[in-house]
Amino acid sequence: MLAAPPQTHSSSSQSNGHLDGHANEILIRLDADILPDGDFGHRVLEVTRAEIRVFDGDKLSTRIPISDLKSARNEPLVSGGRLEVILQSGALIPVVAYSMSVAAQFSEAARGVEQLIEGKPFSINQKTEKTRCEKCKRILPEKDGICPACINRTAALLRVGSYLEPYKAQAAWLAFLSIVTTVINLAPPTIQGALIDRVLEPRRDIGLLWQLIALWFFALAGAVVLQVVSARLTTWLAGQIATDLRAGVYRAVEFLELQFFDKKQVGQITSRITQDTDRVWGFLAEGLPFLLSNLLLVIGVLFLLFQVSWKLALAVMAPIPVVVFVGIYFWDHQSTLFQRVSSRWGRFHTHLNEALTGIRVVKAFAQEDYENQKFTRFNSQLKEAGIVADNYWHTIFGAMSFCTSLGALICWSVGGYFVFTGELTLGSFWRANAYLGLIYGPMQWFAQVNNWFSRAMAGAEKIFEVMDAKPEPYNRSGQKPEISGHVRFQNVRFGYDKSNPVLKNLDFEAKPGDFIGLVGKSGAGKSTTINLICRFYEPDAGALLVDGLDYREMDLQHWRRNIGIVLQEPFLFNGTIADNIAYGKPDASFEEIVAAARAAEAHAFILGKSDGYDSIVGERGGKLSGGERQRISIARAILHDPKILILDEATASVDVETEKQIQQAMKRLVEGRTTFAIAHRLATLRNATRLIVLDKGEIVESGTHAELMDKNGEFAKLVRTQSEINEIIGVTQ
Amino acid sequence: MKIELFHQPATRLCAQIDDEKCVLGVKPVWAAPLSRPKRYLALLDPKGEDIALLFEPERELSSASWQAVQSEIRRRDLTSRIARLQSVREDNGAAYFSVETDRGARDFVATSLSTNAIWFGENRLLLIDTEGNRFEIEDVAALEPRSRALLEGIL
Repeated sequence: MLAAPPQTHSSSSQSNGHLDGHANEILIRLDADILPDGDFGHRVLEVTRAEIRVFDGDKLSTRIPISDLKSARNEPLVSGGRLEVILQSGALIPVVAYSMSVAAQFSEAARGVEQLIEGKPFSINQKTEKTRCEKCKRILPEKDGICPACINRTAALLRVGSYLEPYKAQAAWLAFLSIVTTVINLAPPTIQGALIDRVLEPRRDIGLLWQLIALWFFALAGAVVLQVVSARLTTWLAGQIATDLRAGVYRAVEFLELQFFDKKQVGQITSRITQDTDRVWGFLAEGLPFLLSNLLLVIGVLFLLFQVSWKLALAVMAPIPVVVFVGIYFWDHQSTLFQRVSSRWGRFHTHLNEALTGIRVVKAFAQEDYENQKFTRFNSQLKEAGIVADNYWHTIFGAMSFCTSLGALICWSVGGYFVFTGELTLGSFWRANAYLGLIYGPMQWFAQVNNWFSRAMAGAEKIFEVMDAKPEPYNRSGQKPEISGHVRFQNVRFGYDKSNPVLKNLDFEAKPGDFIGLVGKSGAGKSTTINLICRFYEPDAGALLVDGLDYREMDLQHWRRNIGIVLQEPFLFNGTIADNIAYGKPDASFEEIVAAARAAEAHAFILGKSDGYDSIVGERGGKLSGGERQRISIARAILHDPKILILDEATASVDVETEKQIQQAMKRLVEGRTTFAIAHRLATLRNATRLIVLDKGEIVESGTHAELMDKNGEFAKLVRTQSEINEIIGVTQ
Repeated sequence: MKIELFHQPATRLCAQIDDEKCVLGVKPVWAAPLSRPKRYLALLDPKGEDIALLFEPERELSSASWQAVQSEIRRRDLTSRIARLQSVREDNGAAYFSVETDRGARDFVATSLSTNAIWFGENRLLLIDTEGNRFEIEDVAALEPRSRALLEGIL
């Protein structure tokens, strides 16, 4: 947990490294949660320009002058870490240990101390992620996420309700039908009471008997018809809202900044579109109608019961709180038991899937018995969980039924006594008894509706969290100029973490038609440069000019339409080969598709397939070989006809023969386009107009292949290293 | 190979090997801490290179070396051993635990218990919270009845 600094400073402070009279200004103040003996506890780390201090409570336990330090580091431990410093003398001093809960902050702290030691500008990220709910202080399941316990359920419901706006008329009809259905459902007991009091007991007016029977029949038929209409309308409305929600969240996800995808796993995002919308749909389709219709019914029944006899009404209502209590109290545990069954089903399913998918390995190692033992264990665990959950369920259900029956018993005891003493007519007693039967059933489920509602609103909140996340700066009103392909990086600085720049002062230009090779070790900044060209991220400082215009002033989609990418692992969508080639130009004619495939050296292998251009490529292009996928992606780029082309290790994962064909296709592809290429095999960049050699985010060399070899600098060193590796591989093979 | 382990200075574990070589800053690491606890102790040099693998360290090391190793392990492995569960509550797929451990009391939240509650054998359980902190129950059967009931209610 990051303690609030006693002095105000910005979350990412930056200043020169001189001791400028603020030697005691506290630059870092962090709470550590591990004591020197390894127990949980509270210590405070403070870093100023002059020293590092550690406090145990109010007591200063450690003080190390920055001037004595050679370096600082974070030592990763199991389930935590430790900030350590090395003195000028070489001695290692453990400063403070911490758990994983605060590891990220201490990692930044070590970086800050390093900056102070080296006299560099102090610039670290002190922004902390929210780990506890500000309202209830409970730990959040996801950092910076929502607290399920503190969701404003009313606000979430109102926002879900706003999706009813286009279907106002249908919603109004539904509300009206619910009221009418409730009223009709209350009619049969009233008719029965009248039958007893006005026909059966006095034994006269047989005409009235048939009239009441007819009325009863119409009430029954009317209720059924209305229930069917209401159910259909509800299903339709819930379906519309869920569809709109799914569409809304998907559209929002599409336009989100890439940082959002960096932070969240794909599974978490897809569950917003599938599971969470499904929860909302489930509640709208079943929970809400249940709640509304039964609430109306309960109100109606209570009103009528009190009309019959307030004494009897009070008596029969006595078990209702017990029913509701049983529902609320026991349902929580029942729900956990059901979840345990579901989790064991998951484990059972995973094992089964794994065993069958890997059946060749199982057989090859003769491990059928071992797998069977595992299966038996999971099967048995599933059985046990199921039995426990079902037994508990039957017990609750029994208790509920007892309470319901108790209500009937009370009704008969008190009502019978009133009939006997003449306080109540037999018909009125019968009415009360019938009303009771209508409400005890729904009462049992009211407790679950709350649970249902909470889960649905938590799902809705998660959906809205995505919808409200910051979208990419599309700048739809931005300029849409004709692009010739002149690209200039003007003193560009960029870091995924703003305090840790990956690109520093990058400055180079590519003229239209230039082939620029980006070269450097892993982590040098090659892919980040590409990411910036694609505007997946924007420069923190400096500018990227396209034909003299800062590309942030352009419409983002217009800019990206002018870019074509060929990746090392090309991504194809499940569809036909023709669909994939035409992905960037959906209105392309078949002749254009064939021409692009020909230029990409793909035409021949496509025709070799039974369905030719209509062949389905499978999920992610899984039915094609790596080389085939790559040529389809080149054809896709050719048809897209971009002004700027990006080749990211485009030939790295194919064999030599295929590479030849791909190189051939590439030659055609790069003609007339400004191309930026990253290639692990440096020989493939021999024909580049210019090579930019990057190291730690900076340009260290630039020139043609021949010029750089003559210079015998970084590039020549990389080429030599690669040749040596190739020789070693050659010898081992 | 004869190995003596001691702290020199107090914050750094040193290994004297066969009275010939002395390695400073040794990291003792359990090779399989959950499935084979207290056996197979690897000694690594500061670069992470393997110095030795002791199959039964308690038996193979002198009493003083074993003590030095244990204290170093406690400093390097911050996994907490749960002694008692105070409360466990499930809410929307997240399990909120309030526990007493060998390092003191702690509250934590774990999601996706199907992957973050890992069983080793019948009774050894590792829980990993949303922040990556590790909590171990060495023997679920040895927990007092209330803790066991709370755990069974959630897992």
